[in-house]
Amino acid sequence: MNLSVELEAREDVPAWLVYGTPVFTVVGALALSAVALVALSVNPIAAYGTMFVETLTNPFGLRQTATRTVPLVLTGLAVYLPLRAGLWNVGAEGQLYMGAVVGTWIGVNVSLPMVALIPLAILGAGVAGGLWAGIPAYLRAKWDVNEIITTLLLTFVAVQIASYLVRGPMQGGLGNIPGSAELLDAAKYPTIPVLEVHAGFLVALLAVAATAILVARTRMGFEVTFVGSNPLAAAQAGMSTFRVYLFVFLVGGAFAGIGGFSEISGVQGRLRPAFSPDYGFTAIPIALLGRNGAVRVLLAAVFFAVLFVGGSRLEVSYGVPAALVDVIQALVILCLITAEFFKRYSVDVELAAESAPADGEPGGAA
Amino acid sequence: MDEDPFLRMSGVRKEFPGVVANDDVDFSVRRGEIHGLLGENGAGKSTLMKVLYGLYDADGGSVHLGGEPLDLDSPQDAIDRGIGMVHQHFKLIPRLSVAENVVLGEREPAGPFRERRGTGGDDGSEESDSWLPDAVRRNRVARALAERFTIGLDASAAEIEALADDYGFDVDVRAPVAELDVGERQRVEILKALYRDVDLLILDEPTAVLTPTEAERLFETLRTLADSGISVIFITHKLAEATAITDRVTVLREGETVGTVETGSVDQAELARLMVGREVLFSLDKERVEPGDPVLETSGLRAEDDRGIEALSGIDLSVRAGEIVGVAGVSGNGQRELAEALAGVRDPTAGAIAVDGRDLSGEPARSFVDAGVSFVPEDRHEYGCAPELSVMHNAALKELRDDRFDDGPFLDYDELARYAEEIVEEFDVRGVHDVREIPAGDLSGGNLQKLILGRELVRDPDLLVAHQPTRGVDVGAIEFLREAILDQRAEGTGTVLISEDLDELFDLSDRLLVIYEGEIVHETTPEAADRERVGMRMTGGVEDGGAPAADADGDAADRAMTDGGGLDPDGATGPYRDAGATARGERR
Repeated sequence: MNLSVELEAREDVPAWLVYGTPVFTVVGALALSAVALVALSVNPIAAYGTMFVETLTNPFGLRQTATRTVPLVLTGLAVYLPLRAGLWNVGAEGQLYMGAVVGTWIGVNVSLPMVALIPLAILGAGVAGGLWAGIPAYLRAKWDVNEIITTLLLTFVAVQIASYLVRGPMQGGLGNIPGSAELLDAAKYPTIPVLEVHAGFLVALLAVAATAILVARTRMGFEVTFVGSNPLAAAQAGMSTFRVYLFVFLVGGAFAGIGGFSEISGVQGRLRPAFSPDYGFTAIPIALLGRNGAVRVLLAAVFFAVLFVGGSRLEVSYGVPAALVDVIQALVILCLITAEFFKRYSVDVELAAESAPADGEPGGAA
Repeated sequence: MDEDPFLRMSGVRKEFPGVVANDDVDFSVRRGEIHGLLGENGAGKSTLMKVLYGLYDADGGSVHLGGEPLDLDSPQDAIDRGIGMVHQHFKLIPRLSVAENVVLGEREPAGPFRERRGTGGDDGSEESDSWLPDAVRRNRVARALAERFTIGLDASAAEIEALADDYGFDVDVRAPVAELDVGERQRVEILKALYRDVDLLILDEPTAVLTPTEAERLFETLRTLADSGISVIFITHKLAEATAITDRVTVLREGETVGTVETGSVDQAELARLMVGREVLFSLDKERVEPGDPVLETSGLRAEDDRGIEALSGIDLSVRAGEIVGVAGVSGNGQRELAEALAGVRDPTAGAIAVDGRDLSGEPARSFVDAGVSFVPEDRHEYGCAPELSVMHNAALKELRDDRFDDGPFLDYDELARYAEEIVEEFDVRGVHDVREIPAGDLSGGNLQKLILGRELVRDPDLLVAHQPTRGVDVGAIEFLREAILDQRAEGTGTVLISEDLDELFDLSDRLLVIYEGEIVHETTPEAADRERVGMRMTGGVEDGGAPAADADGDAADRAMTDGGGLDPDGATGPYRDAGATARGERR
């Protein structure tokens, strides 16, 4: 018996594969994670039932999912937009922290009515996140410094700055426990009636809509797409890659910064060190899953929010470590890469009864 | 067909979704012949060769090589059976040296493990100068490990150098491929195949990037190879090449064999008719256009290449409205830098560029675009378009900022699509059923080039910078593209035509410049030019014989004319008139 696997480069990619990729990716990741669940003696079907069905069928689970979606979709957009222009922003986490720092400072120290304070805090958080992303953007646009490295490393700087501030200058209200003072009530997102979700959810939806329109309907979006596809041809046509690179990072960073403030204002009430469960890093698979459009980024963010919420539910009900969520996330990325491979190659697996004469390796024969 | 051909492909069929690329194709090659495979882009030449080279599985038909059936699963099988292929798109690794690229997959173990070359197997090992004991060196396990885990480039480099010398290639085998220009890279590709002892060598449009002189040398090389018994398949759509070098020609059209002919028995017009299926005009209708005001003037233009080495050393150039100025030269003499500088893509290090009298030196590419400069870059896929984006995206590239695409604060995509459809219609871009859906990269070379030229011309530019606008496209498309450039000339566009195709330059240009090592070394007109002299100047030669002083004078006059920007060419180049008449006589 001889198993032969043949790879052939695809001439064109069938439509079902293009559109189905995110679905196959998610299903594949869940199927593989089932192995881990079985190893922990948990029935995967029951576990996934708890994770997804229960989370999505009770109001509390839905509210939690919506709340989690806010920072995920905003950081997701922060990765997605540069990705459209062919750049990798892997530092959305840092931009999130900078936005949270500045937004919190405004929310603690500025006395204004809510209608003015919240927009001001959002603006401040957006500017902070945008500028933080602007540093790697400028280095990349001007000097061609690899943005993957700079965005990633600046993340650690941002996290440490926040960590210092809540232990020093911004500490307050909690005695010796690191953390800022509580936000003024006027700086806390009101709850949207009926949905019972904080108003950051609306902000996130607006950001998705704005990004979708920006990319699909505007000149800037055209330029971003073109630069992302072929920067040399774009430059030749008079587009400024400098401008496009700065733009996507400034806007993306601003989204992440707003995401940071939203999490403080809508959920946590005060800035604490390490307040984010790696939202900004989860944003990378979110942007990859949703890279064909802003609305897909939203869908991917919802999926990961369900994973977060369902994962902690799983921990409670079955004693499964919450790290399983990390495992699923990682598998989503691996499956995504695998799917890219299958998009490019078609695979024929043949089971031949008769073994072909194997090439005699001189080394083996000796 | 043939009693006993070396290669016989019969009834080959290859289908892709929606297209039959090869439909019952018969093709056979004799031992030691140079066989031309002629056809327009999309005729199925490449598909047929990919089947032969093991890249595609045929859906039907059979292939026999040397009388035995050939069943290939991969190019490696093809190489093992003595088939070599030089691809049109280079398959080289830029970071590696020439030698490393050539030996990729075929490498030698490091020196001490090597047998002496030419002494034949183990017999020679007694005389080996290796410091390793023979017992170790001849041990099969040690040898196998050495073959896998060591690499000896010293011997290969010397060997490749010798090989390159044999075939008249001028390549530094230790230089990284990234530093080579297009022409040199192609030579590395050919070396790669030659290094693998092929019986059958497939060349996919090998001369597309070679200069006439280099092409001549390649032809001689191929002749030598054929005489030594190697069969050569020469894919081309250049008729002149097919008639110049091949013994026989097989013509494909729309995936089917039109026929195989002895090259001696047909002329180019007949081949063109077979290939295109209709009569092709060879003489372009070039009406007289009275040149207007200068649209482009450069003075002392200097620029560096990507490595920071000066590539342009003071170019003074003037182009008037309605005038085509041809720039001839061997690839790598500053043409790319000149084209990019004129299009505003490359910042000059010194000198000035003025378009319509306005100084644009140091301005971004956008100012050049807005000033009415159109640019057809040398490399369609790398600079000319975004292959993954739709025809619409690519068609609208240059006019994107135009008001007509405004839709309030948004971009009017419907208008963009209409604009793209107009270009597709007017410039006969085929294979586009929906401008929004078809990626530009799916178009064949000729159609993509029509799209790019259309995009540049439909704006009615003041200046067109066209770098190799017809490189690698088929006869029908070349005819179309050249006519489009001439039509635009009649509309008053000034054109800088940079090309390595002398026929093209002679047919289209009003004035002809020769660039060598970043300088304009010669100026003439097609009517007055002596091809030999132009060719010589392209390679840096000066007149052999004759008075050097007179030659220098001639050049001085030429320069003066460049500066003046448009004296009556006939007057200025009077002395060369006689030679020009002879040259015209030689041209068909």
